[in-house]
Amino acid sequence: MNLTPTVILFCLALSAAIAWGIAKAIDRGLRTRRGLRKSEQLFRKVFEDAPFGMSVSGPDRRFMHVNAAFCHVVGYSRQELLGLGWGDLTHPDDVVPSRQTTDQLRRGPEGRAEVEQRYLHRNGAVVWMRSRNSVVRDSGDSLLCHVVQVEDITERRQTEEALEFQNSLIRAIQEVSMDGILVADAAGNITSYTKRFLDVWQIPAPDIPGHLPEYLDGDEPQPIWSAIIARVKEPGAFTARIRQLVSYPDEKDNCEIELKDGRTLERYSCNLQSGDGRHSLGRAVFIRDITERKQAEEALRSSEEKFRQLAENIHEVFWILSPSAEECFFVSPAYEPIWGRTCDSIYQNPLSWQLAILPEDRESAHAVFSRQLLGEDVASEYRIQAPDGQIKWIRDRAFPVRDGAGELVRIVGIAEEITERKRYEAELIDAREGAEEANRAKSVFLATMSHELRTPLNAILGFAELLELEMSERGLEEWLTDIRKIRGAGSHLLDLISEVMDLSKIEAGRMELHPVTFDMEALLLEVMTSVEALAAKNSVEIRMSCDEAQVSADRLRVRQCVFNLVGNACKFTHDGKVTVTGTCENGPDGDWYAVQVADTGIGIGPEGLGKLFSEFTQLDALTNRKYGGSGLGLAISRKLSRLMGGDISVASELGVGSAFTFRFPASRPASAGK
Amino acid sequence: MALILVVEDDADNRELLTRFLRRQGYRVVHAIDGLSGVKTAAECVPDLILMDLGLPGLDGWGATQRIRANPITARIPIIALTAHALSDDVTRAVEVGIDAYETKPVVYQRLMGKIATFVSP
Repeated sequence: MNLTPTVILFCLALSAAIAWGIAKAIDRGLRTRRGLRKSEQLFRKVFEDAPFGMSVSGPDRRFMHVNAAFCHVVGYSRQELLGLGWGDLTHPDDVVPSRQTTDQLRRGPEGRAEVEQRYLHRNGAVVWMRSRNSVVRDSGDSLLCHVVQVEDITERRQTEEALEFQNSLIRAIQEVSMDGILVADAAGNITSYTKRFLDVWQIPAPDIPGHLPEYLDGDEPQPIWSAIIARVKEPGAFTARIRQLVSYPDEKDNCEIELKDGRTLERYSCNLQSGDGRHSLGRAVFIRDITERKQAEEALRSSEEKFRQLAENIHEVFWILSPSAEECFFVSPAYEPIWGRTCDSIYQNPLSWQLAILPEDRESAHAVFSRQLLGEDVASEYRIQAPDGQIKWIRDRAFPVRDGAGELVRIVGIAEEITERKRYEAELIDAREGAEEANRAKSVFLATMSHELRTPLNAILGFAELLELEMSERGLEEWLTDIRKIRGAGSHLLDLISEVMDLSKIEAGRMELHPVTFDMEALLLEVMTSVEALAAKNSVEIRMSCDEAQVSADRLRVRQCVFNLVGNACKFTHDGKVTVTGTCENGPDGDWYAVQVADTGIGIGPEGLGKLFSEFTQLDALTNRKYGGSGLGLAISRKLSRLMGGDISVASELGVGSAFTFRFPASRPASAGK
Repeated sequence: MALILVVEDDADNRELLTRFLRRQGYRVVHAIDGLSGVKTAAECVPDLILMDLGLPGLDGWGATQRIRANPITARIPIIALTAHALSDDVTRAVEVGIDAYETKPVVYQRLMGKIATFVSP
């Protein structure tokens, strides 16, 4: 029910008049029946035709009179209502306040009350009514009746509730929003703001007393404006923009604001239009801190820049393809000079690079490329022909890029020209083959030479032995010394030839090991026997102790190593001791046998130890003359021991003695060859 | 007097062996390669054979095999002379039936001692 202000005023006047009239009528009593009848008819007419609901109820609040408008508001017929009271219509939740109003009305001096409360329509709907109540009393001040005038305000109440809901919603949004929100009126004066607004600007709340509105152009102190202006890097431009927005409320506003403290804020503001859209009510301003986002963007830009510099300046072709190879995301400019084609040609047809591949390499290159598309990390080498006819070798490597779920999202790759390297490799292969050939020739030469040298030497030694024997028998003592020198020199020469042979065999990788199972103690005893004479000559006392063991190794080479060490010990010791110790070692890495040969000989200084195992090294020329030997023995022994999978180590002190330890695997078949 | 067959291709070595053996009082016959060595062994049936392993044509191992295969010569002691002291060479020689071996360069007086364990002059 829409009541214009005029109608409302009219109603108020009428109700007062009615109340007054009824009271007068009753007061006057029954002066004249006729007058009364007339008056009653008049009031009944007014009462009945009134455009708002009216009721008269007794002290018991039961209805005595109701008009048509009242019946319409509550949905009952007049007959029904006359059997009911106010209590029957009152909303259950409003029963108590309703009674209180009634009681107040009855007791109070005013005799009038105006309340808004809920009633129930006959159909059960809630009806909000504003009621104006007045009481009528007789001359003895007893209550005669209630006169109540009602107005249906349901619609207004509903609008108010909706508004209330919207307001709460706005408050909730303001509370949870990460954006700081400020509302200004059409003149640019601040009418409200959220706490978050101050937080985003980093304005301490205590600095803001909170007197609103804060005028854009006021004489009073403007704490919020002052704080904002103090923080903005370019206050002039900032203020100018605000004034511009006030002048042009329809203008869209979305900008970044740089602050003196280095932060960046983003502002978005929009016009608040009146319901009819004709004029601006003000502006809502949203502010957020985008410093981190800006920094991330800057980092990304910088990272992209670095990537671009890298990709554009490397000599390799860097490329990024979609997993299906339908799209090329990137190809670096190096593609152009190498392929002699434009990068654009790749972007237009991501497979066009394949056109340059030589026909004979195409199949294998395609095969590798197909595997790349399946996400394999593979490399291929192929040749391409540039438009100028030049043939180039390319090495192309691809790497799958997968997302967190393992899905192939990109293929990145690097293609580089390796023509030079290929040429170099070819040269290297030629050179190596040449070197191997030369080495083979050397080995053959050495083998031949060794045989050729040894055959006459054997004869020399043999005849010298025969001569020695016969001279001795004939008592030609004066010649015997010479003939023994011939035999000694010949033997030495033979040893040298054998050692050079051994060394060249090892170095050519042609030394073969022949593992057999043998008794280590027997071998050591054999060596002791061999060096007996030498030891006796140098007054060396040899002691030997060993673990008994059947070992599996190349007996001849083990003997050669042991003999070399024990021989050396006897050679470089005078009037001293040589101790030979054989030990079985059973470890997690298999069975080993170690032979230690310790002497009390001349010893070796720190510098000497370094070159001890080198070929043709004896510690100095004097040593060589004094002790003889080729200087190859230790070098060969160490190489042999390593060939067996073992080694020879040494500890020595000049003038005190040396201890050599030869260790070799005792239960593994030694590997043949190098 | 015991007869010794020397199978050796090198003339100097042959001469040396011969002279040392004769000094000891042995009789000596020669063969200069494997085939003639097998033949001479069958003809002369010597008391001992000195067999060089590195012979041209039929080598010492092959010759030894044939000598062992012939019932007439099967039991004659054979001492191998080898330039290659590699155990493989010796192992193969033992497999084909040699009784002893001596590595080159031959130390003749030692060899004479070895021979004396098989035959006396």
